[in-house]
Amino acid sequence: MLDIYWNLVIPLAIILAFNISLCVLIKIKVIQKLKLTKNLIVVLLVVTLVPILCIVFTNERKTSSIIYDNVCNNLISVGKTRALFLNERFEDVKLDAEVIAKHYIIEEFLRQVSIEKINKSDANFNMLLKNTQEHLNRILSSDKYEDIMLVTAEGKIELTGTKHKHAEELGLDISMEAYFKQGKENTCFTDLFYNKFAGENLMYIITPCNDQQGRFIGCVMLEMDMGRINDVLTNREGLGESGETYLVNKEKLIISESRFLKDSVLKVKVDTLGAREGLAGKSGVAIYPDYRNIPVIGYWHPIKYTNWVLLAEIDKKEAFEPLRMNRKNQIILVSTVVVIVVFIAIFSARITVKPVQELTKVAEYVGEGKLDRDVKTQSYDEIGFLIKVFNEMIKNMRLLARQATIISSGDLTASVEAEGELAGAFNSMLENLRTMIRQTQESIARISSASMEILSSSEEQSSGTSELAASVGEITATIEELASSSKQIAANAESVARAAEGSEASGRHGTESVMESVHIMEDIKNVTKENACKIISLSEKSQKIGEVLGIIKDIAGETHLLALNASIEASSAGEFGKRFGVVAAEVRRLAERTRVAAEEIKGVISEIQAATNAAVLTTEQGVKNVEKGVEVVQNAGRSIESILHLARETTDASKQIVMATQQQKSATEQVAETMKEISVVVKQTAVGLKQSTAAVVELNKLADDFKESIKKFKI
Amino acid sequence: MIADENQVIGGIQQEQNSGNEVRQFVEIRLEKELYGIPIEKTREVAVPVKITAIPGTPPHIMGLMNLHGEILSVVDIKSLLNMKTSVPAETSRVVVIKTREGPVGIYCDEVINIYDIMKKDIEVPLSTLSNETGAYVKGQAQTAHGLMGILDIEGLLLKQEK
Repeated sequence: MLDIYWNLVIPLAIILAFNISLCVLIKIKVIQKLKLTKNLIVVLLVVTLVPILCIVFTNERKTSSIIYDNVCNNLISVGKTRALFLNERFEDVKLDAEVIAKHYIIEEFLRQVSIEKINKSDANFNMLLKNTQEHLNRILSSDKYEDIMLVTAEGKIELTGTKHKHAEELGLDISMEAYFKQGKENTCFTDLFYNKFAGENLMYIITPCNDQQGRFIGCVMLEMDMGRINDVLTNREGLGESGETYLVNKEKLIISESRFLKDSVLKVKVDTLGAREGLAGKSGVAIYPDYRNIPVIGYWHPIKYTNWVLLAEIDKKEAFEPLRMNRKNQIILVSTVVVIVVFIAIFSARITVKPVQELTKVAEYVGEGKLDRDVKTQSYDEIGFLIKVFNEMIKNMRLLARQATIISSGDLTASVEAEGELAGAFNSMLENLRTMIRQTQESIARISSASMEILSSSEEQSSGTSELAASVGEITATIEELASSSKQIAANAESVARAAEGSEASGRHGTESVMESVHIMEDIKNVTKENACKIISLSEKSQKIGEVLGIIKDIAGETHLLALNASIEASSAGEFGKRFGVVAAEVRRLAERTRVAAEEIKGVISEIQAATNAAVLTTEQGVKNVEKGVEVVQNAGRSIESILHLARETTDASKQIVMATQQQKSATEQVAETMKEISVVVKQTAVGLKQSTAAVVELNKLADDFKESIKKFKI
Repeated sequence: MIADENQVIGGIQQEQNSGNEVRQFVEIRLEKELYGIPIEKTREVAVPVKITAIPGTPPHIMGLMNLHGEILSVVDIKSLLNMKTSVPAETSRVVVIKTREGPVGIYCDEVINIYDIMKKDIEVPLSTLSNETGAYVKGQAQTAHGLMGILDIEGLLLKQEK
């Protein structure tokens, strides 16, 4: 039940949703753009094809999986059966070999040969040999095996069957062969190989032979070909056109006959997914490229005892043939549906469109203003109704046209006897026309009286115009005088401007001089300040000298004292101190002189200090004076600056005056020009007045004519 | 004491005998007056340092002074000569006099110089001097600074001690 739900309900729901959305989409975007025929085709195609395609798609997937499952099952059953058969066969062969090995004649023969090393010419042994030979031949007569060989414990082939008459194997030493070594222990199968003696591909089954005491006395070796196995494997039953089963040994060489390649045994290598998986001891089914590199569905199964793999394969192309057929049918179905849908769409569109086209043609005719045609129709659907209504409309229009023709002939008394907005409007137009003509008649009477009045007033006006011409001439003369006086003003203003510019230049020069003198003053100030500093440092230095002098004086005093004491010491030394006394006296004198000199220097220094103090005071005064001077000069600078400013203003003002007078000049000239134009205009006016008088006379006449003509309308 | 006086006078007389004999005098100033002290009586001239007054001594003893570690009594010679008491000034000096009873410092306003004077140039002092002062002025001589009275300094000091 669940399966049905998934396979039917869900696709139908998807189709429905898809259709609805497509319809909506078409309604919005496409329908307004396409013509009716194309429109129908598109809609019908979408509505029919989408569900069909959905069903086809679902069907395709389902069918494909079913077919694949079927093929797989088929392959598995065939492959498994054949593999089981082979297993069974090898089991049989193994059992056969073991039974032969256990046979008492064989056992005795091998025991005598291997253990007792009996003389071969012994009569008893010859008897045994003969019996054994017969026994072997009996076994071989079943045609199950190619040959039977008895091998001694040392690995020498002692006896063979005589079925094939070739005895080249007899006496051959196989003790070094791998299968003999394995065969000593238990029964084993060799791989298929090319036997050069027999000239065909054979395999050996070798089984150990033990005596009663359990000693190893030799082996029994069965020789078997692939004939029977090939018969089973090449049976094509249940495998179709391209199916086959074959065996692969552990070197991945094909060992049974291939259906596609002749003479392939032990020559073709089968390195496919199936072979690999099977050699790994697994069985399974998959799609893979086979030894011909053609994609196949294959089943693999390992074979007991021999390390072989049975492969059952069928070409993918054949397996999926029904699917391809199905697909072809579906394509045919879909294309047929498309063709039918397109035809239906075109047909139904034509039925609908034809009367519409007729209607369009007549409507175009009416649009050009011709009303002498009706649309013919037999249909009673919506379009037929539309055509009927259209014919009605044309009839009404004809009525109105006739009425308009009557009115155009001047008869306004009749009205249209029909209903509707157009007829109403027509009647009200008629009414308005009547009223208008009535009003026009009245107006014309008024116009003729007014034109009489205009005539009289225009005559008055022409006399006024000649007076105006005279006064214009006077104004022109006055204005010319004004122009000459303004020219003089302009000249005066220009000379003022020149003077102001001169004073501005000299003022600028003055400012520059002031700036220079300020700089010089600053320099003087700096120099004076520097001088004051120098003088102060001089004063300080002289003070220092004074201090040093004090020290000198002290030293002189002390020297004096020492000299005194030296003199005293000298005198107390008596006669010996006399010379020293002289020196001391000399020192004393020196000290005295030093003291006097120091006094003098002190005097000089105090004078210097007084002088420097005075100089410092003077320089300070000088600095102050210089600063005052700077201030005065700066004041002067400022004054000059303001003078400069004033001069500039004067220049500007006079320039403005010049400009203004020039403007005035041009203005008066323009006025003069204008006055001239005015006089021309006045003259023209006089002429015009004369003309208008004539025109009014004409107007009067026209009004009379118009009165006559409007009387024709019947109201 | 009398013997000493005689000795001194005798000495002078001896010098007078040989008129060209030269004697040296330390010339000191007291106020404006100049006095000479024979050089052999003096030991040294020193700048006065701190003079420590000693209570209970006569007014002419100014006090004690430490001169190179030696304690020396200082006498105001001006008060001995009936002058105003000394006021310390920049030029003030102490002249150390050798007496029989040890060295004594005398305080004077200035030590001017040492003069070599020939014996014949020493005149007899003027009689206008008062007796008390005149007793210790043994003669007078002309120097570059003026007239210098020669003082019997030991006599003057010893008289006061008596």
